[in-house]
Amino acid sequence: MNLLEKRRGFFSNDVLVAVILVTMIFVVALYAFKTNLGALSSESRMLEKERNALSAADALVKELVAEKDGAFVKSHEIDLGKIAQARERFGKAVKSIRVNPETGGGGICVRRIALASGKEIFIEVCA
Amino acid sequence: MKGIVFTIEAVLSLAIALIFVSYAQPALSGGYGALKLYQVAQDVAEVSVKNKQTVNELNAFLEGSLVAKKSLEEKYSRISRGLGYCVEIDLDGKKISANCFGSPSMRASAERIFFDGNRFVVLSAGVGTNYAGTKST
Repeated sequence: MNLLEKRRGFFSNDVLVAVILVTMIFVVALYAFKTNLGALSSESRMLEKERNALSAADALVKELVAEKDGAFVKSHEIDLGKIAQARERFGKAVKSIRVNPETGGGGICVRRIALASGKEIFIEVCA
Repeated sequence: MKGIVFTIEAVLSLAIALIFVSYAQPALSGGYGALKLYQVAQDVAEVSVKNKQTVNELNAFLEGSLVAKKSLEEKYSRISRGLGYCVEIDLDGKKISANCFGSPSMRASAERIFFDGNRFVVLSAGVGTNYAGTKST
């Protein structure tokens, strides 16, 4: 048997190991990507909620429930009667709007301080 | 020679490839912690100068009233507990600190000017994450 016959159909051990290693790296990469994608998606949802709560709370104290004197908006001076109306405006983007909450609300919450009838109040917006 | 030979270079390449694929991930930046802190600092400053009673107490505090100082300390302590942040008020170098310890990992401050009857006074409201207390209203 000459050298050529001997090598016909021969698959080197080195190639086999290389293929196994490449497959292994590919599987690890795929697993890492899948795991990271899940974490990223979850973090992204949290950030979206936090942004909603921040925007809603800011809009509330600066405009939506602020007292008005003609066209002049009195930022941080709250008309508590307007809160229920403002709640409907945010729809599903906001879970709850509470004034001086005793306990923490569910979800991502943002707490702001404002004045109502000359007294400090806390407005908590949860998304 | 039969068998599999792993050179140091091969092992190193393999290790680097594994580390790279494990850490190669898209990352979201930060969050809104700094913005939240900045907004709260603005709120504290705004509420301080818009509340007539607080302004009167701040004026009295500037003139050296200990009663006003105590009342302001209680007020800002209540605000600090409600917000869950350390609150520091600086009034022309005179300071009121509520529920603070050490140095904060994040801090934001806001300034407002009010008139004390004779002159304009700069109020600086700082809030930080170095909160020493339990959050409640």
